[in-house]
Amino acid sequence: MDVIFDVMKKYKEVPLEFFGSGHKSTSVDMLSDKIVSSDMSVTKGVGVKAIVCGRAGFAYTTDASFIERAVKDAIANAKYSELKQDGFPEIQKLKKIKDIYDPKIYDMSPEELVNFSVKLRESLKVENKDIKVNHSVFEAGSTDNFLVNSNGISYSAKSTGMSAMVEAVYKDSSGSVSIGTPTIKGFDVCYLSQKAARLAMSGVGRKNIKSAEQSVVIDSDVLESLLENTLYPSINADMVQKGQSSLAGKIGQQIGCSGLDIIDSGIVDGGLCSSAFDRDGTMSQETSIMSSGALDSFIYNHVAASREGKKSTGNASGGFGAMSSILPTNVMLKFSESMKFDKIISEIKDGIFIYETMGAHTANHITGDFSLSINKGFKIIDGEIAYPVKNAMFAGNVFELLKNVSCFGDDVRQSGHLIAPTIVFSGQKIVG
Amino acid sequence: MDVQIKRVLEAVMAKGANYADIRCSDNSSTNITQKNGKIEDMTTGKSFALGIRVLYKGSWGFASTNDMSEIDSVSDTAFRIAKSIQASNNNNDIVLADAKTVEKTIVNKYERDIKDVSIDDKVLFINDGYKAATGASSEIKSVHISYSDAHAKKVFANSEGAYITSNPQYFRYYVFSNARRGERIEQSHDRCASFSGIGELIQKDPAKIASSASQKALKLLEAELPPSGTMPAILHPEVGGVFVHEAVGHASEADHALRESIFTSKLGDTLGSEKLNIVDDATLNEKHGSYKYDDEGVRGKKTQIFKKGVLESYMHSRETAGAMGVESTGNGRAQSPEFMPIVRMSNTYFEKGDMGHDELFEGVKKGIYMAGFKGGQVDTTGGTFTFGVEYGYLIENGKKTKLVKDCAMSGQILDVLKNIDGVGNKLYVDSLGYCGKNGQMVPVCDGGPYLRVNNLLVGGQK
Repeated sequence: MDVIFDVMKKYKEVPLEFFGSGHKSTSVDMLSDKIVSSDMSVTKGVGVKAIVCGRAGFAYTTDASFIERAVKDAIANAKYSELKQDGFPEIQKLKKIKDIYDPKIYDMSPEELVNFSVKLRESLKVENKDIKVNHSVFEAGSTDNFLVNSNGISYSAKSTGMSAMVEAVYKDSSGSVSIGTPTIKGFDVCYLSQKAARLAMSGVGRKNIKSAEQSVVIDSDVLESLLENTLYPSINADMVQKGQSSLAGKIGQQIGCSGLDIIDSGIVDGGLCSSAFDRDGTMSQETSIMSSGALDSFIYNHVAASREGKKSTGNASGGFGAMSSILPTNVMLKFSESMKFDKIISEIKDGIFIYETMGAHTANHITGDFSLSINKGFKIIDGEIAYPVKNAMFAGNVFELLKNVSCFGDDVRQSGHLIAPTIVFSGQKIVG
Repeated sequence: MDVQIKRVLEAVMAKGANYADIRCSDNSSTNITQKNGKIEDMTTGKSFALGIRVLYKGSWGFASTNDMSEIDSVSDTAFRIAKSIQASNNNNDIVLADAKTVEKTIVNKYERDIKDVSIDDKVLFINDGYKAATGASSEIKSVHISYSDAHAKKVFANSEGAYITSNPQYFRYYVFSNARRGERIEQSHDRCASFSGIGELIQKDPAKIASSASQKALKLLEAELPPSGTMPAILHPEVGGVFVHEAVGHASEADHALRESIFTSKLGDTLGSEKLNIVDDATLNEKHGSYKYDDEGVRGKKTQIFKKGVLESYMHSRETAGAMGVESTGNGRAQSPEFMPIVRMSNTYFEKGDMGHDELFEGVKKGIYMAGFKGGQVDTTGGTFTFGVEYGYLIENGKKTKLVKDCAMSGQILDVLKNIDGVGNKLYVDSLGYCGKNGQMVPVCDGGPYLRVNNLLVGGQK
């Protein structure tokens, strides 16, 4: 760190920003009940942004002894750049966020992670001796970030995360479950194995269904995969400014159903995407994206916000190897009505519960059109889960979906950015 | 550095490891992105990476860092990981196939070395491209151009005494043009990339590449939506090449075949027509998937995968070759020292046949010609594939007629292999692809001659 302050003194006429990041990650891969590989990687580096005549240049290095060289390069690069930037964020008093760092994960050894995989394999066998792990990945990661700029900012933050994905197979059916938590509390291997086993076993005896409009119950993993390919790019101010969002010019307009709120918040305690400050050094905050169905705001980093004379919403994202880009933090969905999961199913006469899909990346992020093939879905008839379905597709439009929310479950959890429960949408097209 | 690497390898072997290797690379890169005439990103960077792989009683341990001073602790970690897997009742039994031990310093001489190209020149490549792309027509509404390059010093060393150093470099130049007429917007792109210095970009001319991207986007404004159904199809080498890579190549990678692929336990079986001849060849001169040695220090080779419809060989790393008791085919590749090498393709192509270009088309009364690959998905276990194609032409009475766009082709891999009934007599192996597998991207190339499939399922929107 002293090196950085020395260099800043030496080049004090140039506004500079240093973002340093150290990331340690350990993972264990299991294929067909066998641990096939495990690895640990440590990545450290510093990115330097320099502003010369109102334009930003960038350079990075993984070698601490090259920091001055990186500053020189960033200054040289700024002379070619046409990216306008007036200055950097000013100092703010950062909020303390709870439960995003756990020393047990920070210090987790590869041996402990191997034990998690073995425990998963064993607990699946307890559920049913014919269930196998087709594929599982356990990962423990920790990040140390710092941000220093010429406005006197000198922030640092630590965060951790544990994640696991398991695909269990039983006869010709499989069930995939994934979880992610920032602390070890709540990282439950038994939950993982029970859920994967139940899904794998319940998938036997799949039936074809007929095409029809019906109620659709969507798991939060499926909704996250859809939103990340449609809604998230559409509320990204950079995309809006470049004319690549269909929400451009719609602030204040009704785009969702009246009971629906969407909030981006980087300061949720225990949130997977929480941090005290963003990649630009802006303090993280809570931003209302949609309230009662009306579009409130887009999300900004420092550069995109200054283009509109606005304040950044603290959504700058990225590592040390590139300038910041815009991403949501934790995206919370709230709805006026919610009920227990079992109650949700019992109130549906004709519907489908969609648990796992393929093809969300092919959704059109501008129009919101999507067509997903349903990997794991269950037909609901007269309030009961009747049978697993096969060869079915769910086709529709994300922006229409947001207008057709009929009910929220009470099983709120985080999947990627999204913090939401199982959700019921009415009148959706299922192709059989 | 070499003394340190050799010392660390000796130390981990002295602890009881059965094999170990170290890969490192010291990399310098430049990225320039221009959007609508303005340079929005100008980034240069230096990065170092080192990875150590240790085999202990049949189990792998792997660790990586980008700090050379941590080489000892990283080696300890890799060894510890291997031991902990071995101790967890896995019965892992990895054995490496024998490989020739190579000690070699490869110093490539680049005629137009990327290290000698100034930033001013790089910016000029972009500006020339922008002028040409927007100059093509007033209907070109937006143009994005990116230029990136890197040069590195690479080392591979293993506990058997291999020590290979090299000085690879590459550049990539991409142009995306958007054309608009009324409400209709079409995008297309063109590109140039090479591992042999900047000469290729100068020769191909940034202006010509950019103008071609715009011309393609403009042409798409005229295209209609294609029909759907089963019909005879002629595949442009780019599309046929992707089929060979995605549908045949991946299923013939031994790590897939050893678990479950449509080619599992089918060596020696006849799975296609007499005309089916497919090879993977890392030794082709200056192609996008060429290399002298793979990331396990094994010399790149030419491997015959299919000969006259018979499955002759899988592609192997030392690990899969060890499991099947054969020699490695030199296909053990890694994206960077931060990843373990796995079985990957190099330059994969369909060998040429005996039919002239016109002869291929003459045989088609009503069908479709497909060009410009867009993206796809393949299931090597179930044997199904779906590919998107950027554009194509209807074929009527042996002649190309209407231009169509956004077609998809899908089907069963094994059915298509049996239904190839025409193979052109000219070979094109020129694609500039990147292939993703297990989270790792490596440069590859694929191709072949023009291919005719007598019935292919085409999914259009009409």
